[in-house]
Amino acid sequence: MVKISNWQAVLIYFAVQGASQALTLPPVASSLAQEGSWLSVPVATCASLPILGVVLILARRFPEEDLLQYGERVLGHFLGKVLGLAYVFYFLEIAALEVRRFNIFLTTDLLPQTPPVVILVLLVSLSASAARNGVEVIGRLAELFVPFGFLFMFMIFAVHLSHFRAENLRPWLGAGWGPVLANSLTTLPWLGQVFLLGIIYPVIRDQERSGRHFLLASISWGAFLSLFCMITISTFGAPLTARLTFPGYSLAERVRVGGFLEGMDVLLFVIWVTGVFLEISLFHLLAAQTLARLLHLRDYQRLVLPVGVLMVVLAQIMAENVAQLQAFLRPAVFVPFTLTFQLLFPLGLLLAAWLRGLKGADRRG
Amino acid sequence: MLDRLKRALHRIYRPTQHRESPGQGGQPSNGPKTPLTGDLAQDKEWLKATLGASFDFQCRELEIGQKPSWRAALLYFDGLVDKELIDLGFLRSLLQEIPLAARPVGDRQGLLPQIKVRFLNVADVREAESYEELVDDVLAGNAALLADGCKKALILGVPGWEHRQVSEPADESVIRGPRDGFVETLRVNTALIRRRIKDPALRLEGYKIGRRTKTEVVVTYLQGIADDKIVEEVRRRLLRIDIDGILESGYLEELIEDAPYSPFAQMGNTERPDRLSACLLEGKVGILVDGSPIALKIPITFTETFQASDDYYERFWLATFLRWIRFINFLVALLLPSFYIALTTYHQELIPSPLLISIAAAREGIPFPAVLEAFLMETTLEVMREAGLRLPKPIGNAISIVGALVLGQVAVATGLVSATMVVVVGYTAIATFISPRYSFMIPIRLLRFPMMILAGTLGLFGVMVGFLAVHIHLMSLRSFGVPYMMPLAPMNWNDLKDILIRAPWWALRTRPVLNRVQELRRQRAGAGPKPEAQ
Repeated sequence: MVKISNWQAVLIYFAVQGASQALTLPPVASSLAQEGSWLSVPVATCASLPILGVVLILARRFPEEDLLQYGERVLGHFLGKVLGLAYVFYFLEIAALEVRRFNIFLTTDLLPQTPPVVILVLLVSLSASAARNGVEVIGRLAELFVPFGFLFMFMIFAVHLSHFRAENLRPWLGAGWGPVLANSLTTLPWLGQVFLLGIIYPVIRDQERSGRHFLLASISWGAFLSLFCMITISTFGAPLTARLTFPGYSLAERVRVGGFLEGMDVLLFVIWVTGVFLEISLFHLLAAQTLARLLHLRDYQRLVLPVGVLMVVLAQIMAENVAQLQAFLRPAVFVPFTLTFQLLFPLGLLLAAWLRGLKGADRRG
Repeated sequence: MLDRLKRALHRIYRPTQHRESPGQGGQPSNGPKTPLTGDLAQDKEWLKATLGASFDFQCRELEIGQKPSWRAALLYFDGLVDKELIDLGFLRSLLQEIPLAARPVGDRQGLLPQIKVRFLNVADVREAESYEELVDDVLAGNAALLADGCKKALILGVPGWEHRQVSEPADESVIRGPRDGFVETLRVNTALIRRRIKDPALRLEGYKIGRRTKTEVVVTYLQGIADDKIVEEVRRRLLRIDIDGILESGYLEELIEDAPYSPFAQMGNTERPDRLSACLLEGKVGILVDGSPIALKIPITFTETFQASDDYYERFWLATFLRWIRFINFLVALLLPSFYIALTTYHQELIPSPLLISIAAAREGIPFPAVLEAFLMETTLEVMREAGLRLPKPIGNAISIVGALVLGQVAVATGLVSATMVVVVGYTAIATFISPRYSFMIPIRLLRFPMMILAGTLGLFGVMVGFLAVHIHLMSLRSFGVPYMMPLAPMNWNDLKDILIRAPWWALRTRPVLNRVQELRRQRAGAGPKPEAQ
């Protein structure tokens, strides 16, 4: 069995988070909480910790089995399969969402004349080839690239820190906690992706120490994102930030040092492409593996290509333009959708397993 | 789909799997054997029939002893044996000393054993009992002594042919370090290794590979340090080979590697005995092939691209600095032309304005898009390199002058290509030579072209797609079970001390983990240099 280390799992998690948030910065994208919008990140991080707790307790109960295996045991064959199918849909949907968003960015900003399908197909074929090679390869890619991503991000931060304008961040709680809490709902669906760590738990080598690592990972991501948001708001001011489509990208664009160090947006773009690629590779792999388990196939590799085709098609039909994408990402739609898979289903499974007294084989036993 | 294509290719090119048929595997032939008859005339006839009308085959008739005397024959290939040794080493003793011997040499059957023990002043003597052994040995450069009435033959190890002297390797030259390099003769090469590692645990396992060439192949490793599983895997893969001939270690490399379709080298090669010895000490396995001055090293990782022999002989500050120069220029060699194409074609806003203006000025009036321009230059460069490589040195120099002056200068002057493109392509070409390992940069040369196409069609996104695709491939590669990108990913802190930096020798206390060595420790803790107390 292929195994990855905790460190690799954490880096995959960072890649997933970075890809979905580094460019668009959902916490500051709405004008809801104004100057205090970065505060919604710590709030959302705290809210995402119970999700991590639930999936980890569930995963620890069945340390050797994947979601579908214990799903079928806990809920019975039929319901287990339905659950598996639902998760396949979820993985596909999120992956399609990510490629679509990437695609829209690329088409509007960099390659206006390239047909969208070319970009989609290229990106998905990359993720397909990574998914074919398994979680081990995705883990190694994350291990090589994600640290560089952080290095570059901190370089961008450092440049902006030199003209940090604290007055742009005041007043913190101009309208009280209400808007901050409401705003955190735009961030929660993304931070809630921490449940993926529970999904990939069975392939982790050193499971005893996973809990601590994962907790630390989600807290440090919260801290990093808060810093990112603070710097963005301090640079642009809250009203302007809320109107930017890609605040993270704009932040990188503004870097000018000594007249020669420019084009940091290239770096951010490079980081982002890599992150999106790693993220959709993970979803691609998870979708193909779950589907293979569902259909009782011995190897999932044969399903990688069909899943990729589905992903490309889904990405094209899910949103015609940015407006439709935004409509889907509204908290009223997106929060219930994601929370169902991130919290509700794992919680239900956990309760059912607890009530029925089911437990997986202990790895050490 | 690619997989299916691969399988189809396999089916076409490997219709049946020959399993261990006689003499074709690695081990000395153990197929059916025909014993010698003992009748000299008959044996000679058989040998002559087998070897055909070979004009270099010599059969020297002898008569040994006086009253009783025996008819005998000495068989060898002219040019493969050391004639002087034959003359002085045993023809003299056979013809002159036996008749004078105080003790008689015994009967017909015991004749050759007696001669072997008492009269042959040659170190390497064996007995052979079958035609097959006899023929193999004679073909390998030994002489055979047959005697009438004796069912055994003596094989006299007197090989001596013209071969190149040990000289400085052409490829991996060093500023500081030993000057000797491997040669085409296996014995010399094994001696070069033994001279450096005087350890009883140094193993040199011999194999014969190639049905017709019967090439001697030696697998060498340090018992107790190299991983047994890797050694066993090397043996298994060597024994699986079924081919008519091995003329260079490159044959073996392609026959035993993990991913046969990969452009990346999955085995290191070296011409330097000091380098191979260093690898053995680090727990790697080496393969030496007779007839080739290039030894193979197993397992290997991608980071070897950046390690040179000098790194370990010069001071570590310089070595560390050079490591980083190599890292950066490796990326440059792969990415610079495509980056330039992407930026000038799609993302002009990312180039700082003063630079953009000068590039625009240089590109003024150039009839081609940047991709085509780059392709033109890169192809010219590859043509020049290939043309210059095969020619004798004086003409090769002429080619480079023509290439540099005429093509570079005039192409810019006539407005075919821009001056900046010449700079980009020229720098890339130089960066390609930065690696101390020639074979490791070959895939980079090849991959540059698809990268340029991607950059020309999709800009930076295309470059990223290509870059990631290369990395997916690299991450999935393994060399004899060791992940190819180790110790970068999966990360291993212990091994990074000889990758990101070259730690001073007293700090390289452990061997690299990636070779899966059995004994990690290399130096005692605290054995490093200490300033003398005042």
